[in-house]
Amino acid sequence: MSEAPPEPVNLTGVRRGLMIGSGLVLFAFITCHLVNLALGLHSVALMDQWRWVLSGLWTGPVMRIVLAVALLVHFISALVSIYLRNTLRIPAYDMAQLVAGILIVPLLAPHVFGIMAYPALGLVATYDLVLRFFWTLSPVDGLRQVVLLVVVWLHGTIGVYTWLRSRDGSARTLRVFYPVVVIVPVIALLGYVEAGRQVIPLAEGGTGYVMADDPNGAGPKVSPETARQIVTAAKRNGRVAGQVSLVLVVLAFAARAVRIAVQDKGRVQVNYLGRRKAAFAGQSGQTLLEMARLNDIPHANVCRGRGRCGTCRVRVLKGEDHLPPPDARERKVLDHWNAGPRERLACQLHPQDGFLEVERVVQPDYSDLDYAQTRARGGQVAGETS
Amino acid sequence: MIRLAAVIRRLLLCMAVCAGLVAAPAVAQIVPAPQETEAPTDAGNASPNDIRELMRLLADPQIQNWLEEAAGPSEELTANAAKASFRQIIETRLAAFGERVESLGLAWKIIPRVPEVLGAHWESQLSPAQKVRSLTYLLTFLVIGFGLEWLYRRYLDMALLRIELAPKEAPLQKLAGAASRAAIILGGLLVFAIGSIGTFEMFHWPPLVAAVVLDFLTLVLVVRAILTLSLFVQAPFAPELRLVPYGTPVAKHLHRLLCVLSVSVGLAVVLSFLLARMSAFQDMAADLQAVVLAQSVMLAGVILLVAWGCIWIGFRRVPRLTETPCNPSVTRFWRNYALVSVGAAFGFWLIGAFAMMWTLVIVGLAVPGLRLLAAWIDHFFDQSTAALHEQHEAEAAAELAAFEAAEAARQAEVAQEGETQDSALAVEPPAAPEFHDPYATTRPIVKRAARFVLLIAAVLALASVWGVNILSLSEDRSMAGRALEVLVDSFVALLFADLVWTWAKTVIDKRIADYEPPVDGQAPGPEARMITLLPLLRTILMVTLLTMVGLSVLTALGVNIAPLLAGAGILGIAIGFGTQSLVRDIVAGIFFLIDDAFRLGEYIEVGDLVGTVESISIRSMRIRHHRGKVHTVPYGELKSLTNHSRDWVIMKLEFRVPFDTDLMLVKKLVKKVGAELKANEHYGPSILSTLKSQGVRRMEEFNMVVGVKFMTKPGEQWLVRRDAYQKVRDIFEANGIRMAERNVKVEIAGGDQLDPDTQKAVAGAAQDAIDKPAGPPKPVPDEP
Repeated sequence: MSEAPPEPVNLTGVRRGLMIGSGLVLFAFITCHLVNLALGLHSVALMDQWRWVLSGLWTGPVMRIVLAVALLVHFISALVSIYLRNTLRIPAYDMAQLVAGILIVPLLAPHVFGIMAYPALGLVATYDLVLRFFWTLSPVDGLRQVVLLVVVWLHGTIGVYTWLRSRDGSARTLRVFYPVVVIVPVIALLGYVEAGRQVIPLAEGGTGYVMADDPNGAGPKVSPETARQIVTAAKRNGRVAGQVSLVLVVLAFAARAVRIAVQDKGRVQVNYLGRRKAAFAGQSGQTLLEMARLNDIPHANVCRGRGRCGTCRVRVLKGEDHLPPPDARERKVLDHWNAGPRERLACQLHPQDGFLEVERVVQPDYSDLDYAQTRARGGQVAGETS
Repeated sequence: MIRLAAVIRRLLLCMAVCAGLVAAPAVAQIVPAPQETEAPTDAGNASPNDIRELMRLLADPQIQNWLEEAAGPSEELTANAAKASFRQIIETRLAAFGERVESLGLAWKIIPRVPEVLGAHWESQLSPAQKVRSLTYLLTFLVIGFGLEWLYRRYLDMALLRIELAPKEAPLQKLAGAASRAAIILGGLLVFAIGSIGTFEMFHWPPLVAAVVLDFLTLVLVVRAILTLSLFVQAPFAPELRLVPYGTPVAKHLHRLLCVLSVSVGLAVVLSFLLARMSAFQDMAADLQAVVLAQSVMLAGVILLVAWGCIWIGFRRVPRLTETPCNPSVTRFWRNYALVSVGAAFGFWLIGAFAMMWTLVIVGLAVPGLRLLAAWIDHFFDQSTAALHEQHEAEAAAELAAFEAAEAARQAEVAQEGETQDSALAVEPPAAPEFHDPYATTRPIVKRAARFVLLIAAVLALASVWGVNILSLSEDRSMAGRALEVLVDSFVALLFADLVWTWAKTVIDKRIADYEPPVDGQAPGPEARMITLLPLLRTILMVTLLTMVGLSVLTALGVNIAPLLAGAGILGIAIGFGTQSLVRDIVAGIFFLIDDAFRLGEYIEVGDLVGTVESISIRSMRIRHHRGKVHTVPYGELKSLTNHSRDWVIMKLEFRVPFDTDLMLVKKLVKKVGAELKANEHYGPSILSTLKSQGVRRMEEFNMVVGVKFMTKPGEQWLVRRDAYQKVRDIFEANGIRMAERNVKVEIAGGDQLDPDTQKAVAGAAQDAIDKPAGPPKPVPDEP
């Protein structure tokens, strides 16, 4: 990171690595947090009992920094990837991830700053207290939390899902991943609702859950005047953080629009041979996969154009001369698949002006994709070389 | 469980309501709302607790049953009311209309205040916390539903992708693919419903919150179901599975429009439900009814605008997106038609004529629906036929290619052997078999059947709109009920008869059209019999159908057809006795035809009449003798019948040869002639077993009789016999075998000394002596 990478293409790799790494850290935190929420299905007391493990560890002095850095890195690399998007007609998963990602910071900021205000007020952010706030004092904030939960989980899940799916032999991992991905937010939401049902009656004058030895029993430890200031500041900070993030996103989109407007627009005529023949014209600057997608040509792509899975490989039959050579990352994926000399990744291939004739290596319905066979082939090759 | 039943009921209602939503006149959706909103006006000044208790009671199935039973008499009351004089009816209608106009006027005045009043009621009903909580719950259940559906889809996505991407040639494959895809998607929808509504059911909610959340969940479900239907038919994202004849841009555009339309209409319906529910939990304020009406009118107006917008945009954009040019005047006509019918439906709704509105909606949907259905079925069959044709051509081409390859190989071989080019060219390429459309008979039947189903559905819908139960119509004695019953019954009878007639006519006509009359000289195939029977069957069927339809229409009209039937029966008996022989002829004829005793063009023998069957009518047949005489034979007269044109004929011939003939030589020569006959290009193929010698059949006074025989197809024997005689005679002569002639050898002792004149006289006397016992000449055997 400290010294500038020799080639700009490696920068992409670093960015993707940072994105995945920071994303995974954040996802782990969210998962723990949601599991803590899910305990509400039993009781609010249990939520508070496990709070120090599931949430407290993450908000400790070190992890707090780690989380903040991860969030920052993730956000910045997301801005870069918005800037680098060639087209906005993207698959549904990517679109959902993009929209959810944009929404996260404005939704999250009030919660983060709100929780951070509790120690300043001399209060402990117990679930008892926070749930009362969300369910009875400020239901609108409570609703925002639910939306936030859905949005965050959607964004994170799509990211992890894409990352997992493009790895070899991910079938077994995914078999565990799928149910977990559904169960965690569901039981978290149900826990939230059930906990709410436990704390609501008290506010409405009925009998409900009361915490056994409430650390906040004495109320805020600061004067009401200061308390109001702290609360106002927290609210303002949350609002401002959200607005800043939105402005940054808009700037990224604007920069992207400028980038696309200034790049030269050449026409590329592409012919698909083999099964499911197709012919279409695309604009240079886009990848071959994006061109196919824009023209509704079915094309296999497990990782949706991230250059990881290798299922979008094409065999170039004509027009190879105009193509830039594969960069290191593409080379790596191609080697991993023992690809032939004329094979390229469609998601990394930026055809220049002219004519291109290709053939899909993997059929769009993945009928001829076999991870096991590929590994066997790889093992065989490795055996031969050793 | 009670609530589950309520959910299902509501779902069904929503589906029924939204079924009409697929096409334009969707304004109607709003209708159930005002009806429901008017219900609580009777609640008067009941306290919220009372109402809650009432709601609980109403949800109890036992109470519901009791209510339904109790409602029986009231239905009778309405039936009595229906019998009230025409003037009274008109008066009631006018009064209702006036009331409606009045309330509309009030609603119009109140419109500016609607948001304020609604807001106030909304506030008083639900605390802010409760509102937010409702939304939270809604979101939670949606997440659960979608999550479970996503999980379900994980395990089926690959199968779905395969189905979507697999190339489909025939429309039937497409239909199967689209159906399995729709089944997978609907399975997901089911999982979604179970996940969201099921978890919702696991908690206990305040009644209003429960109702609101449930309404929205149902909305999501119904809209998704409609979109699934659109996916099934249009497949905007899977061109291989598209069942309709237009391209991806049009499909996507229409899908989007449908999405907008169904979401806005569904939202409007749910909002008016919401208001109705809210007022149900509320002490009714005096002006709330007007507010409810005002709100409904506004929502209906929004729906009207959305529907008009969708129609306008759709008719504007679609012609530009299609590859095939559209006739602008036709497009304009249908656009205006849709706009006007939507507007008119809204108008009817506004003045409170709900039945009229629904009628308009149903008829307005049925008219273009019938045309679209017919066009779609045509397209479907065209595609099927085209696919089959393509396959057929490909097969023919492959056959030709194979032949050419074989021919080339043969030519090369021939060239190597150095033979003449003529023999190499002798083989002709195989003729491509003619293509027959296998769906020629199915297509009209399917079209009629589809039309039948659509029309019946429209009739049922109309009947339910007018509050008429078709099954219990006969209990309704009012004038309108009678008229409707007659109409419905006649219509259904006609539709049924039409369906049966179309099917029978298509099948019979196709068979008749496919019949190829036998080439001259050839025996007709078994199909000839059907050609005789089919027109007869068709006529009988038509008469039967017409009679049945006539009778059922008469029954529907209330005419007692029993005397008619009895009269017809007596008349039938009388006519039967009078025309005994005619009936016998007809019945006998049918059985002769079923027995396959003779066919058109066969050579038969009836008693002492012989000839070719020239025509077969319902009562008699006409036989033409080979010399031109035409015999007409009623079937009743036929006792036994000899058919000369079946399967094979054996013909035996005799030759008389002298005693000193070499029989082995004869046998050899006959065999040779047999081979020659068999090789004849004209009748050779008709010879089943060629000429062969049977040896000496008997010895006669002066010669031996050598028998020969051969077997041919019927009708060919004469020609073969002629040639056989000629060839045998020629070959015998060439090989020195004389045919035995009747000769008289007169031996006279010392006859050598007789002078020629005396010898002549003696021979003449002997000739006379042997000629006498010969008797009269036999008749010449017949030959056609």
